[in-house]
Amino acid sequence: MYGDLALQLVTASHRSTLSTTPQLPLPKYALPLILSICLETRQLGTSIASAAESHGQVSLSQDRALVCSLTVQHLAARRNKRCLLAYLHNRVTGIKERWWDAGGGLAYLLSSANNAAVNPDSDAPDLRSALSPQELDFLRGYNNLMLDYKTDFLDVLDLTAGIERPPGEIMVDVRVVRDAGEVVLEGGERVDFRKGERFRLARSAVERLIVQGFLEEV
Amino acid sequence: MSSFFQEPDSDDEIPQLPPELPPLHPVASSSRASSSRPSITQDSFLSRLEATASPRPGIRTDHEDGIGEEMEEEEEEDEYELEEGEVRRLGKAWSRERGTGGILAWEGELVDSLMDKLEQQQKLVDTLKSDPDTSEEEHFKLVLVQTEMERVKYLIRSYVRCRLHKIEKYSYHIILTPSLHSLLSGAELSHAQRYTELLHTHYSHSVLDSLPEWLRKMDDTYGDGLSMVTKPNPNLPVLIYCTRDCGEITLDSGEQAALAKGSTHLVKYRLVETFVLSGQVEVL
Amino acid sequence: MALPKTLQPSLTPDELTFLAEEEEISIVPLFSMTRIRLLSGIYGSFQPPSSSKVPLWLAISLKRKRKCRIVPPIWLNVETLQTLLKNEKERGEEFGRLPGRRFVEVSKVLLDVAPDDLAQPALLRSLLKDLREVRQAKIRLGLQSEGVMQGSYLQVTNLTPIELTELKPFLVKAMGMMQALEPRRDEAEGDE
Repeated sequence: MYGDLALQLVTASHRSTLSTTPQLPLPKYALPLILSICLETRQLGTSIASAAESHGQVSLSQDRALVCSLTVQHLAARRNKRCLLAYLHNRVTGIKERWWDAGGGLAYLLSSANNAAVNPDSDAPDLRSALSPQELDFLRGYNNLMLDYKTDFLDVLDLTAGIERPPGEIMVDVRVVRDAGEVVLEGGERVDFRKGERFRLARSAVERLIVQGFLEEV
Repeated sequence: MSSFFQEPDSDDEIPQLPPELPPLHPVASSSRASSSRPSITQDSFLSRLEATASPRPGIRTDHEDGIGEEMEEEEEEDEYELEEGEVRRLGKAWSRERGTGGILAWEGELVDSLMDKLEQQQKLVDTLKSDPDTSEEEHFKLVLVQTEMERVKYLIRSYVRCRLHKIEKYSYHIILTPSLHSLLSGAELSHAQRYTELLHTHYSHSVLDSLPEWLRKMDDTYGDGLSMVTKPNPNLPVLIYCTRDCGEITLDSGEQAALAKGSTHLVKYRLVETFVLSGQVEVL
Repeated sequence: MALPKTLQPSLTPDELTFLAEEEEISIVPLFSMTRIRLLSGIYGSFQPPSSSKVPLWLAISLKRKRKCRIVPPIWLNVETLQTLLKNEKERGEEFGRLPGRRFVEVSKVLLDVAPDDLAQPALLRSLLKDLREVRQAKIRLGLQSEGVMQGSYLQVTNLTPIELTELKPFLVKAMGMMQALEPRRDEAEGDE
């Protein structure tokens, strides 16, 4: 049946909140399914085109069956497109969520360190391999767009710093959960973050490291 | 070393914070390329930001009717708003932006002004922190200053990001509707443009190019009336608190609802849009 | 997303508290300090034992550093809360007017940070909890009454922002469903 494949795509996409919950791994891009749907759609297109060529003008009263079949094919093709785009859009949302959740750290987002944090026990795909090449391009493009937008504000504030919780005290007590090595903080201070050690620092300076899981607020 | 924190009567030694913004002027301001506030330094955040269209908050350029009415209301509102600090005003703008579905006017003047002040604060903090003569009291004051700075930065961040979210959500619609452009800052508009292109490229390369030619457009309307171009829904309910009496409105059911001062309502946005834009009601 | 999913439905209680913290409150400083000029205004000078008005966030910050005592708002005492509670219970379906729109946020914050500046904090907490529960019960009852969902309109005067933002996502969703069930209106009405 036309549209069965598209239904599969949409159902999978709809059922799982995996895509849009940044803390969970993004499911792998359903390439085979997508290719099949595109193929089916092209075939529909070809079928419609050749029917148009061989029949010229059609009228509803005389060629009812034909008109019916053409309509079904046309609608099926459009529906496929809609499903494909819905799937892509859903993933785009998930990709953007992950970018923001990582505080805009693209390298970190795509690295294996992040993968370990996101799904420590399973061997689910890390983000990079879950994305299609086009999605990777999109991510990079979005990253650039946002870096540009950030710049206007950067002298004063970092747009990618968290907004989920309003600021409390400006200093925060942290404990190092994972070795982060020597880090240069805002203002030039150098701190060696070794596992198990505690520090009291400006929240804005270490927020990134907290988000990325190197530090834990105490 | 002169201290930022001394009594105000040693004002001549203290770097001045920029003066309060002049009262906002009605309407014509939508043609301004940049904010009209007196600029303290050429180098300020203001001049580095792309040309910001900063129309009077609340005036939508496609509203032909009722302009006269709106001007009167603004005058009243100017007096009201002058009494409120900038931080509070941004707080209200933030609340409005978060509580409504569509995009509202970019509070360019407000944001620019606060950003400038934050920049100056930061410079002073850095200077005093590294100066060995800074007293203990001054150090303590710095902590308070910084605490406030974090609050204001947070507010600006959240406000800007809320708008970004909406802009990306409705980017296609925005690009296609020139009358909305004055609601965005120059940078936001540019972002909307580039984001739409990025998305379009992505969809094209991922699937559209593999589909028959007649399926490659991005602005179809489906049989059920749904369009590919997502628009904000003016029927989405909003929570409003009436800071003054707004008379009565007619609900879809035909009944009247009295928007008395001090009352709160959950009501479809399009029925109270004018009041929201003019500031007569606050959005929760 | 630029706006995280958790923040999308409405302002969170934390965010509402943030806004409430702009309100001014009186403190009695436990240290001296000359005037300070902040973005939101000029405060001080602090000279114990004179009281001073400062924004709530500043009061909290000072309190946490043990540098001040907070003067509770006039309504934050056992007697007033008992009256409010009694009032609320007697009012049937209507909601009582609470002192200040930021009543819930301010009382919570003060109980958390400065219980020692309040008389009988445990009793206050319990009264506030009771008050909240009475109001919640009324809300639930009100939602069940007929016609509430019709027309996507609801008058909610005297409900506070915190109570409302809790309700909003549910109401919006329910109203949306009701709207979908209604016969479709002309497209033109909905357009900008």
